[in-house]
Amino acid sequence: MICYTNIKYIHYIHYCITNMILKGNYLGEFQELVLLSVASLPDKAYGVSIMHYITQETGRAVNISAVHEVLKRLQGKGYLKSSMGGATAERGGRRKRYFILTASGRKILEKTMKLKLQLYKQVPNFVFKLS
Amino acid sequence: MTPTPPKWADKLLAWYCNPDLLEEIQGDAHELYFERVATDGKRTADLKYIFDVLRFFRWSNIREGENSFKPSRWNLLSFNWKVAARSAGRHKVLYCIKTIGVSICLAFTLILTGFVIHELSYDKFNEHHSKIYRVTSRVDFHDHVTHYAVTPFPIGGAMLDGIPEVKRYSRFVSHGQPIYRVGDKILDKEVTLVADSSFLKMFSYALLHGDRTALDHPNNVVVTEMLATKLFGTTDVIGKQLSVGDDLLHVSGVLKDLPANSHLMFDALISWDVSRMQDDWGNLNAYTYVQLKPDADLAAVKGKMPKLLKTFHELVAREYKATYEPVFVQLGDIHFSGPLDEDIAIKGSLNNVFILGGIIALLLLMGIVNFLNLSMAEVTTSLKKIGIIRIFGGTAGSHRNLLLADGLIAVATIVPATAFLAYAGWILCDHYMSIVIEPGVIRNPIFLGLTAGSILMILFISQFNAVIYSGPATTMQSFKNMFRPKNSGRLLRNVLVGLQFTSSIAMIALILVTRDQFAFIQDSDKGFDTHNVVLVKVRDARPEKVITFIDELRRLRSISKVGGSTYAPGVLETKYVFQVESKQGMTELLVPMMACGIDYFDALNIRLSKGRNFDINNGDDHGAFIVNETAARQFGWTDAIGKKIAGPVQGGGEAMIEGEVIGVVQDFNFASLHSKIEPMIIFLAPRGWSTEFVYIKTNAMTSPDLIPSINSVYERLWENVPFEWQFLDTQYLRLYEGDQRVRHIFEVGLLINVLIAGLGIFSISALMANLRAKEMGIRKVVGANGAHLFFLHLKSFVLFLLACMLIACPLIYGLSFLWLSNFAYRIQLSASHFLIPGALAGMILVVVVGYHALRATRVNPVEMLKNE
Repeated sequence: MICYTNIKYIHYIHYCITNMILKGNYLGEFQELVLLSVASLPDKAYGVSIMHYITQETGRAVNISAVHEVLKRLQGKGYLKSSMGGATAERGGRRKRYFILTASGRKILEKTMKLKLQLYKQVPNFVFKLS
Repeated sequence: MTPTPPKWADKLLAWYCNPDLLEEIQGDAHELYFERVATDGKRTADLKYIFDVLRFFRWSNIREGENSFKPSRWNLLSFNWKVAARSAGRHKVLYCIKTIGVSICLAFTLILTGFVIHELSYDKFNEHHSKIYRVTSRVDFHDHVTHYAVTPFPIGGAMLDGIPEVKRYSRFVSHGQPIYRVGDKILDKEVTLVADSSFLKMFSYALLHGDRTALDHPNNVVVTEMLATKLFGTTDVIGKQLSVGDDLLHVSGVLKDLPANSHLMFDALISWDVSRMQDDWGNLNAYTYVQLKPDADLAAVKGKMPKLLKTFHELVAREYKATYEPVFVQLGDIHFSGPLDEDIAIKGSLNNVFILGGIIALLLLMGIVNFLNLSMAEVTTSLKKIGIIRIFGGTAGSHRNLLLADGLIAVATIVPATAFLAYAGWILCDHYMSIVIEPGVIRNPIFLGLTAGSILMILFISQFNAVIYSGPATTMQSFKNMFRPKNSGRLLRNVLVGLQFTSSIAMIALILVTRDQFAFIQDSDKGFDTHNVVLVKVRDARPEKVITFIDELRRLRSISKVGGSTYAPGVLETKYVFQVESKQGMTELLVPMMACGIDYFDALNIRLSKGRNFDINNGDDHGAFIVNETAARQFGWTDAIGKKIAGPVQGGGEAMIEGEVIGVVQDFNFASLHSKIEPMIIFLAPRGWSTEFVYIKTNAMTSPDLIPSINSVYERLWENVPFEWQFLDTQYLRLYEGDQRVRHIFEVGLLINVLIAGLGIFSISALMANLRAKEMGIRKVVGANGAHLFFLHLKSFVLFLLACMLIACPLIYGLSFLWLSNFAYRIQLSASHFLIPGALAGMILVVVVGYHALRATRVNPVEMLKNE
């Protein structure tokens, strides 16, 4: 039985990794963070708000240009899509670009989280300590 | 008032940022700014804003985004670059052979063109070259016409006085190679002319120091840059003293080194010292040039000559029973004019220029044909590419663009390679074959035109290919590899490559012929023995000293014989008027002559066929003559001994002395084997005659201190005069320097020719291998073995070789006959001169074609057949 799960697990890892490598769907740590932020800020995810959200949640100082860069890449990979919002008063009338998660973005997010959790569960001492 | 971010930072952002992204970036930046003003104050917000703007300066923000891609002609072309470069990279061997082959052809063409232009540009650097004429003399003496390069001394002056069209005249005489002395430095190989003051005004030789009046005063000397550096170590030598021969002269000018395309080559000019020259009409020694006025016509000048020379003509007719006629040669034509007696001009042959012109055209054609063939072989391999371009909507034009890029890449390789090879060849020519080409020819319009033309030609060929291939080929045909070049083109190519091959067979044969002829010259019986003979030149007019020198030498142990003579190989022979006994009594004849010392015949091992040698004990031998066999035959003597000859034996040729022939020597050939042996009268050098050349026959075992011991004897007699000596066999071979040069040219020509012909065969072979690839595959599948395929590929070329050999045979015969007719004594052509080149050519063919044949045998048939 153990044998079986092990094989299944290895197959799964293999599948994930090949999937990532072959399609270039590898998510960096910061990319993952931005993607999660967009997911948790429905309808109000744009450059500044995402930056603030990350700072607020993680306590990390993030530069706005880095956020823009990652957003562009994620959109290029098809995990995000964007549209311009209406005119605003607080920034000289300039419009905001709002980002929302696409289906494939949600999928990759789920996969990465699942993989992390799976790996995390394999650490015996952790599980033992926590329980 | 609401605070605003720094204006310059805002402007900077707007300037570099992609307009599509500007709104969101600027919006976010401003939003952050206003927040920061509220929390941190304006100053901090300003700084942070500037920092943000700088951080936004990223490649992805300034670049034109993927969405803004605009298809342009340049994009299309740059794609073509990539394809062309890749296709060059894929067929490395073919590409290298193609470009290097055409580079070698072009480089050789350029060098030859440079040489031809150089030959044609002789003396054209002179400002008035079209108005300057050299006066030469045609003398008819007893029905024997001799054309001299020299004229009587006063003819130039008489023309200036008597003919209004003449603007200026200049004359000079050769001063030979006198000894130059400055301090300890002694030079003795410098060609020196004694020239009129008008010499520098007439000819445009560039002066480094001094002006054109440098020769106006007596006892001046003008030296070239090189001689000045050799003597003084510097070129700024005006006013310095220099001893030339017996005179002390002042340097009054320094010439730039003479251009290589000048018919006169000299190292120094000495000003004309009137007092020392015999300025009379009987002195036929001056080289005379006249410059006509700009509007004058040569015909008018010629018309006035008979009246001007009337008294001189009468004098010549009365005194010498001869006629004299002046001949004018334009300065630019001197280089190509025929051989003259006593000429010092550098001569070239117009025939050679025509031959070279033909070779240039042929080479250019060959190079281009090879290039074309190899490009075609390449195109057949990339037919599929054409198909793909077609399917994606490419037109013939787009394919042409691709090939244009191909051509441009080839040009980019060929041009630097050609420039490098041509430069290297030019240097090598200068160093190893003494063929100097004046660098100025590079600026010649013909040369520039040819260079540009050949580059355009290469581009044109790639276009030519495009027309042939992209016109008729349909998409499916190119996919199925069914397309074949037209047969007529193939025939033409075969003919041209055959021509190349034939010419290289002929070239190999010519090399063999020249080699055999040179071996023949070295081994042939010249009538005298050149081995172990040292030739010493004596620069002293006093005969006693020469006799002392000879007597002293006789005492040296390692020397067996010593004999003096007035004549040496390569020195102009002297002719004199002799009275010779014949059936009609005494007749006057112009015969080459030579005065010699007692032991002369023994020293050179010249054998007597009749009579006896000169004998010192026989008092009346000063008045006895020896003739050579040719002379005896020509004078019509059956028994030469005792016949009467009268000649100018004593004291400078005024008094005739009558004597008898005492002996006949076998013919010996001091001139090169180019000319037939001439009759010669030999007599014992009388008192008062200096023998300029001393021949020293050494014992067979020459001791290494022989030359030093001769030198010490020489130095005891002539202090501070350089000791000039030469082994006779070396001196003799010098007569063939011109032929050796021709031989070198043949050898280089052979190398180039074989290379080009090899390339030609290679290109045809490559084309054939490509076209027959599938056939080879099928044969292999059906069961043909490697050897069979190898010979199959070779077979078609062997027939080709046989055809070429057949054509080459008459060519070999004709060309070697032409070259050998330069020699009076020559070898006979034998069968080996025809068969060996053929065999060598066959070997080259097997090596070159074998490359493709081997590839054909080793190919995997599946690779070839699945192409369908």
